[in-house]
Amino acid sequence: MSLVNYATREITCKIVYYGPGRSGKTTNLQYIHSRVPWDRKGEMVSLATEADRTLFFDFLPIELGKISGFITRFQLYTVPGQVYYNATRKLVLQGADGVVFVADSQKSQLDSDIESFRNLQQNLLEHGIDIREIPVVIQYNKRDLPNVFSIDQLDEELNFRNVPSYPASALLGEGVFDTLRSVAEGVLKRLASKLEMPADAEISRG
Amino acid sequence: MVAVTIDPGLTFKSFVLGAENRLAWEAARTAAESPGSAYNPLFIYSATGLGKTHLLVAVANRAKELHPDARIVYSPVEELVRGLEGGAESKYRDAEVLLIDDLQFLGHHSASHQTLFHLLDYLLMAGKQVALACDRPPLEMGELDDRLLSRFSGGLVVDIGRPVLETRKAILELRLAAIGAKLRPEVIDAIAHLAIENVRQLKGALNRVLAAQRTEDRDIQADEVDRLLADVVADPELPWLAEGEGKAKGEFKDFLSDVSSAVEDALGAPEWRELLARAILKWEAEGYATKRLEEHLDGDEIVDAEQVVAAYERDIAALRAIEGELKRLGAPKPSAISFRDTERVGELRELLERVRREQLAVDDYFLDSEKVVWDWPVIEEQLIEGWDDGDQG
Repeated sequence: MSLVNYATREITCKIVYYGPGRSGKTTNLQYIHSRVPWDRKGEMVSLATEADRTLFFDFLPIELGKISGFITRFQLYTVPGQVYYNATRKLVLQGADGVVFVADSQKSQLDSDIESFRNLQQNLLEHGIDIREIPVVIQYNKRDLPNVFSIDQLDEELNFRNVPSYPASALLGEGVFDTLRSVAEGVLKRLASKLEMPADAEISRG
Repeated sequence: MVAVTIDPGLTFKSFVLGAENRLAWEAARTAAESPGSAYNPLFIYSATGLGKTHLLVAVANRAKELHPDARIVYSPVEELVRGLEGGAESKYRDAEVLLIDDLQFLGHHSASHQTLFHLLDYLLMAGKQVALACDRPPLEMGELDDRLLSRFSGGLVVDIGRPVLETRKAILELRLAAIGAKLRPEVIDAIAHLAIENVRQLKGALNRVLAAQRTEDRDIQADEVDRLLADVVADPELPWLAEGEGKAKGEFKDFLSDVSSAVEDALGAPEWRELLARAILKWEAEGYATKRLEEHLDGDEIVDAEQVVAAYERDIAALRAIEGELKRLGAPKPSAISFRDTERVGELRELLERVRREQLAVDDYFLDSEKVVWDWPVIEEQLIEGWDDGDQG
């Protein structure tokens, strides 16, 4: 969850880039990394290992500086897309404040996109989170390639929850910040509503 | 004997360690020092230029050092398959330690897969050490024979990650020391900060800067590094990596400005939280524990902040009064209880009562109500008698 620490005046938001293997999640982070000034970003790390099992994920911390008196930090993660790394995906997803689903727009990849999106819902549920409760943004990546579905077709197949969606070519840097901006705003809006929400509203909403 | 000429300089000592490669390094060293006893086969994978071959060769060098008579074979997979198909199977079957590099070039010929499977099966059954290096994990190797896949994955599969900043710096420093060259520390820093994650390219970048320094016969400055290495950083797939800072900063600045507005909207809201936050900052600065206020602040329940803060400040006033009173009574400062924690007011009150009681105990005589009741009339009587006597006298 977003950590708003009023005492130390800090906000930390965890955003996870989810999606099938080779859809461009890491490229998104690499592009963001290349755009953030040195003094505002940490080392982009790809880690790690636990016992004999290799876990993969990328991690990029960004310092947005002091906003409204709060030191604001974003932590961006990617999950391994390959089907067999589900344990890692679940682990990385834990405590996410927002999710960017990076879909591969190529026609040949639609099944993988759908399977990965289902897997996202499933893994969120296993953390006790309904996908409707967390800001999710879909990025239709690889728009620069031939043989891609149109945005409408992809929306039809994947975006039945009508979440914000963005076309992108992460390799060219297009749409990367639009996506990040959208999920960041979603996370912060949710944070605002959480801070303002009366206790009984939480109960009556269910 | 080592069948292929290998570089004796590629050792475990000359491999720069970081969090991203430590496990692979440890596993390779174990394989070299106790062949066949653990991690068999050892499957190391990583992107190109991150040290897979270095580790395989280090295994060969170390195993040779410890077991000079053992047959240690290092071979790229293409050469090995050619050898197997050309009838040189015994060369590999007799190996105590077999190191196979560039496994990604194995190809998709089922005949090669089968030949390799039989060789691995034979060596593993015989307890010989096998280590393999590839640019991807076994499961991503495409259409592999299932049996071969299970052999590849049956020991330890370990990756080498991209070198982090500290490792990149260490690699540059080690290289400079090895060739006896010098660069300003900030120049080393600037090179390490570039988006070069391939160790080979990193060394190439270093050479470029050193060459410029030699040619121009002056110290290269940190701000020249970007210009000197623009094409080294350039990646045909990721052209933006080499773009100037100006454009990069502009895009981030726009993003920052949008996110700032969102944060302001998110946090500019409830007054009661502001009140609590201000109180926390104020009392924390004075050294008081504010956990009690923080719990209200972090909770979902809306509270009457004025009331909460007033109650908290009443407790602080009580803490100060108790502290003053204990000092006045000359009581030693309690070591276990803090005067800065409102949760301890109750305990401190009890302590004060105790100190008061202990101090009063010396004057017990005056607290003996019986004595007071009995004594005064007696004294009074005596005084009256004395006075009467004197008067009369």
